Amino acid sequence: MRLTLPEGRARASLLMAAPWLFFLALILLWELVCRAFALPEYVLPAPSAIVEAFFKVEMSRWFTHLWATLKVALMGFAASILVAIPVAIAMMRSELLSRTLYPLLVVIQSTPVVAVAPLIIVLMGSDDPSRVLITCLLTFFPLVVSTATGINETPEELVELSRSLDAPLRRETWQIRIPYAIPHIFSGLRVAITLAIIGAVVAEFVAAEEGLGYFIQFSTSFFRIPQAFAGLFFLAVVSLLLFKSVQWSQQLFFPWSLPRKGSH
Amino acid sequence: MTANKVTPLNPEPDQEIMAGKAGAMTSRPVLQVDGVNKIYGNGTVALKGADLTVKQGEFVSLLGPSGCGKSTLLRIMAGLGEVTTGTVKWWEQDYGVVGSKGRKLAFVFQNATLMPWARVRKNVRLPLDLEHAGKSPEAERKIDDALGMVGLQGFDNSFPRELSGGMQMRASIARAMVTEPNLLLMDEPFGALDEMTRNRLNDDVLRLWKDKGWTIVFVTHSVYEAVYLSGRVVVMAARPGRIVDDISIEEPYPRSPDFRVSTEFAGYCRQVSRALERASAMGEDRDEESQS
Ligand SMILES: Nc1ncnc2c1ncn2[C@@H]1O[C@H](COP(=O)(O)OP(=O)(O)O)[C@@H](O)[C@H]1O
Ligand SMILES: [Mg+2]
Repeated sequence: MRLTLPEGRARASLLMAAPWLFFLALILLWELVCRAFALPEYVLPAPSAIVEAFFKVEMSRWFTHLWATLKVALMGFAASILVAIPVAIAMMRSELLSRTLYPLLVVIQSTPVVAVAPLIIVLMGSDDPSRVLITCLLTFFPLVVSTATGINETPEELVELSRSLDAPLRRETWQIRIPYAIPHIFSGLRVAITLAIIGAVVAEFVAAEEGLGYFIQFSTSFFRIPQAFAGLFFLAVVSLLLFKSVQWSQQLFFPWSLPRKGSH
Repeated sequence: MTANKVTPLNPEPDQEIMAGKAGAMTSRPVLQVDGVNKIYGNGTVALKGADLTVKQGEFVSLLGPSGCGKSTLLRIMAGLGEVTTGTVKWWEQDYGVVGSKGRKLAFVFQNATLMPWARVRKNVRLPLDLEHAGKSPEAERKIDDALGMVGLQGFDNSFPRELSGGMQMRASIARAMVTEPNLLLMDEPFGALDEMTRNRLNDDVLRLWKDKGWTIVFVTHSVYEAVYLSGRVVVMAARPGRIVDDISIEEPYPRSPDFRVSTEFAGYCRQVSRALERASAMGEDRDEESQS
């Protein structure tokens, strides 16, 4: 079946509005279902109850929790960038290194962080550094892989051009390889930023006294289900905003690296 | 081929070559490929016993069907990729001995391979950035020169996607020129362009070759292009990749589009086409041999 869309501006605004309208419809349906079947709050709280719960919590408390989570997520994200990109470059330069490190990275990636997190907390204490490490473990791999992929995406001809000039590897890397890797690095960053939030939340589930993950867990254990949902939505919005800011910074600083819309 | 015999530098080699005289043979070799075999890791014999000497100021074409090792030979001439056996020398020096200092060569590829994020000027500057980084008035002058020579002045700030295919190729040639090479290696540079653009660029390359006193090795699979441009057409055959013929095109330079419609041109094209047919027939014989 094909939906026929109106032409021109109407079509554009419909396309813009469609996801919002759909979202709104979903919320309405949810509200109606909750009321019609008189579902108890601990089964599924109605959106109105969630909103109410959200405003019952003081704003300053929200911000304390938000900041705790954000701090860990952003620190983990930043540390991950600082380590992953140089590692990817080093792996590109040396086949030995890449063969040595790659299996280790795969092992790290395929070990569930949720299972490792308690061990890290036990070994390193329940402070920010261990939470940041947990976040890093989650974000590191996609960043290394996307950077390495991007670096290998460089056209062979340009690498040969550089070789035929006997350019030092350092200049070859900066002048050619890194720029070619930028679109890939950014797709890695988009994945990594959402994983960073997940990492921070997982760490809070294991041991924390503040943070949105902690808040959700704590609310659930006291059967304040609407409040837990409010925390969840807040977290989702924050996560979405972070994802968008990665996209915006790509648009701002590297507009050429975005896929072109339409053709000339 | 007199690959090992190095003759002394002719006092005025360029003039003689421009005039297309047989005296070109006395000028100094820029590049000597001696008994080069190239076997790739997967066992493909890409080149077998390739001997080729390119002299100062020559315009040599490598012509042959795809897969006959033209690109392989050109890459070896550029010092990219190891030879399995044999030697390559630039300016009478063994690269293995003197290192890169003796090589003043540049490469033009089949695709313009411009960096999409960089403006034309930055693209043309790339080899300089790779060589010594930093901006100098000297470097800027070289870039201006190169852009001017290929007719791209005023396009400094355009992005590659804003240029036509032909203009992108010009930018690519400017990028090769900017290091002021002696030896220009071109691998099917105009293969992807329409015929009109290709003809125009052919004339431009000839003009630049004359003005700059370059030596050019030009890979193509077009008989017409090879004959129009070159003083020598080196014909190659596939399986295994090898040089089977070396035909002089005695037509004097400068050549104009009139040459394209002359009987001499047709004659040379016929001669080269026959050599090419013989070469591919040889390849087929070998196939039959190896099957039985
Ligand atoms: N890197 C490589 N590894 C293995 N085989 C290769 C490689 N490059 C080229 N070849 C093979 O070597 C032969 C010559 O290739 P090439 O020099 O590219 O030919 P041409 O440029 O004349 O089309 C072909 O059979 C090709 O498949
Ligand atoms: Mg080729």
